[in-house]
Amino acid sequence: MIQSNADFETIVKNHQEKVRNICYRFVKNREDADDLAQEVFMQVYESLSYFRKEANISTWIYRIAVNKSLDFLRKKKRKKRFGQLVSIVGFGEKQESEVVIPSGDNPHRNVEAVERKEILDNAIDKLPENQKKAIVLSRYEEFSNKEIAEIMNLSVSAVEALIHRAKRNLHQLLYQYFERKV
Amino acid sequence: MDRKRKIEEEIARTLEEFDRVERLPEDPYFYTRLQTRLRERLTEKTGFFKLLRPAIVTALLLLNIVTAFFYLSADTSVQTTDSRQQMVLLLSKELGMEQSENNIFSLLEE
Repeated sequence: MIQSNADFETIVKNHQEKVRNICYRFVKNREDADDLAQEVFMQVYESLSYFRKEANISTWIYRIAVNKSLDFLRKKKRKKRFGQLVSIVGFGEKQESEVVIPSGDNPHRNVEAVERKEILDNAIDKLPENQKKAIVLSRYEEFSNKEIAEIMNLSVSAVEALIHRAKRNLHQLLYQYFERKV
Repeated sequence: MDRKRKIEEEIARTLEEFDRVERLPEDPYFYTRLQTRLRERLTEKTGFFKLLRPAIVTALLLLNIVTAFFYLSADTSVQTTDSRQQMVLLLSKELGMEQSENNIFSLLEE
């Protein structure tokens, strides 16, 4: 339980990097990730009185981060659909997607890496939400299955099944993609 | 077979991107910005409730004035009608009788 601002500061400092990176994994934009991470801790601050002492505060905070990130993506998708509709009709501005510029060391390697990253991210985006959560937390953030189970409020075996299905579906999606290219 | 092998190679190389994950650089001003946001949100909330209290009081006062106005200006006089006559008519109707037919009505009229 927060006794003072010093406690809250400690909580923020201990969790901010993980929270920022969790948000970044889902929203793939630094500014949005930072903004969301701030919103996460504001919710933590406002809800701390409701937090059950016996639960793990870290998994509670990461759960808020995951849920806020997915809410953000849902809203963004709806806005995008609306924006596309408006631009088709001829009223809105053209939607601009974020351009990722590779760093200068090895331009060929970096362009390839960026492209592969984008291909992987697009495939992950197509996964069902729970599979997406599980695979992102497992492969990107290296949470253990037990930690993921606590964050997602599931059993460990359910998480294992989700990760297994996610890997299988990812493979299928990537196969379909490269089948057209190769 | 060769094509399938190439596809699998591409898949494997793409999945390797999981291991080359980019982490965000540390943000030393994160907590400072958070404190500012929290302070702003708290100011918004208290500002809103400060406005709300006099608005509620004013609304209640107006409601009381309007209610009092309508109450005082209402016509409270009772129309004096021949209540006996009305009762006779009502009873006749209930019993399905003509008024003049029943002696009990003439008793009431007295």
